[in-house]
Amino acid sequence: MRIEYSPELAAALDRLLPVDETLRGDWDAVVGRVGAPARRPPRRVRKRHLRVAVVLAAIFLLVAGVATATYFVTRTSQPPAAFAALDGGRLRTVWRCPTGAPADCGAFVMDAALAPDGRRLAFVTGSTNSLSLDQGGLHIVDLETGADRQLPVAPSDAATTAGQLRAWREHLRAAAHYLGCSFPHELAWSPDASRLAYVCTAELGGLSVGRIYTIRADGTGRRFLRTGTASAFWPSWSPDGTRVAFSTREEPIVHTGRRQSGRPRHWVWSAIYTVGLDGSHTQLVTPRGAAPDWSPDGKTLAYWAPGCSGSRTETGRTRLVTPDGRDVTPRSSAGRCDGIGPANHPIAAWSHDGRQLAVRTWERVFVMDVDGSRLTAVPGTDAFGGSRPAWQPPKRGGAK
Amino acid sequence: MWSEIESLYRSRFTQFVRVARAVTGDRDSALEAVQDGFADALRNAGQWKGEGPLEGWVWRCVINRARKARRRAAVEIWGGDGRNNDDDEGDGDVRVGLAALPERQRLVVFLRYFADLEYREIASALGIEVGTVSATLHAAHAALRVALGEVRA
Repeated sequence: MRIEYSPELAAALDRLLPVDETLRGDWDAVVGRVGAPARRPPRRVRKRHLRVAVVLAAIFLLVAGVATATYFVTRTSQPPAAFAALDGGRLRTVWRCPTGAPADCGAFVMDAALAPDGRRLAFVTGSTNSLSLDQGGLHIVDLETGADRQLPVAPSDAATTAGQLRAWREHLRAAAHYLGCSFPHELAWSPDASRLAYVCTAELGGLSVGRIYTIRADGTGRRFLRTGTASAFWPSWSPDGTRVAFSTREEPIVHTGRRQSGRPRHWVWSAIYTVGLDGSHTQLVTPRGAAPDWSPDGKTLAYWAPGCSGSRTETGRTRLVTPDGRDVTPRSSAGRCDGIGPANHPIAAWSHDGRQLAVRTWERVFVMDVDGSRLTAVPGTDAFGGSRPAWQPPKRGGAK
Repeated sequence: MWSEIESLYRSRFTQFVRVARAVTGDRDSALEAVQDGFADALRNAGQWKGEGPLEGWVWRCVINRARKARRRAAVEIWGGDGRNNDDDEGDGDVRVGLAALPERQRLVVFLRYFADLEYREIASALGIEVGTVSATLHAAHAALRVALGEVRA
């Protein structure tokens, strides 16, 4: 085979990056980084180690079987809106629209997030009435007392159309004051449940531009998170609460319009970053992905990766990456570039013990082990919508 | 195996650093990437199955480290501000052309010109087929031809 070679390019590259003849390697330093090679134990010791390992593995599986029971919150498929927790394989309602609420209460629910303490549920809701479509708000419900703090409080029905319009405008003004927008979404609680991160979206040049805010659980102290990027979506807190992971788009790849032929005009890729709460040290995790979720041990991010071909029609699967950008996705049988779990717009959420992922797709919610095995569809979640699944905290004495 | 890797280190050190520097854009992180890449090769020597040349496999270890260092630093190397290089002979166009190449094409160019590797070794280093190396290098040449002024010539 003739090897292609361009003398002009070679000369240009030599000028751009000349050979540095002064460099000297240090082989001893390389060997020092490897560490002492492990000595192979005698055969008898190896057998004993094997027996101990088998016993420990059996104990681990026994405990894990109990500890990995699935608990997470999902919206029920039929109005009136209610949130239910899958508890030991049975759906248990944890919140529903209060008595006396309008018939369309909560029929339009955008997002929900359960606080790590399992006590508070945050969600955004509106009604389906065309005039009051935007008269929703951010609810933070105490699941033990039933107390519902709504920001801002939706206006009561006005008697006249003029009254409704006036109430609608006042509501939007109040929402902008408290929250920065009328429809916060993609909610994420901080690990200590003291603050809630969310996204406000605006349309700019045919493209959604997201901004991340955080707010205290009592609805005060709104702060804008300076991400250093033009747009930010899907916040996810690091376990120590000092950083937030986010993606620059809601999906791994979007297009901003279509030509007359119907083909996309522009493609825009989403990247995933992490950033400190004060807006410092923005760090790229992966240039192609969306909707990251930080694992409980802080070592891994699960995210929605584009499909193998990079086409938007191929909706991708879940991949795993370390915060410094090393891909740690288990190899699937489908191929090296494929991810794990279900396709069709997957939004993943780690279980509290870090052993499982709940994955929301446009069809339903699935639960799987982090290696993609034991994939199970959760019944009753077939109209789940766009929210990220939220796991309930483990019961006392159960998994951590 | 260790002796072959050590021999490779001693005989080709400057080339490894040059390619790593092209990837990371920084001399210090390139040196780190080479040291770490060779340490990875030694540590995982048992995983090399003899498929393809050993040198290609070691190159893969070093390139992986260099790419990781680049991601961590989040720097854009070839699309830079020109502080590192003078453009007396119009090489700025080449740098911009390289920056515009897809990463795989850029790596193939680096391995071909900075390390003087053959197709089989490049294929092993990047984990792709030999035919893909040929096609990728051809595409890179075509893209850079304009920058080099060969079309006008």
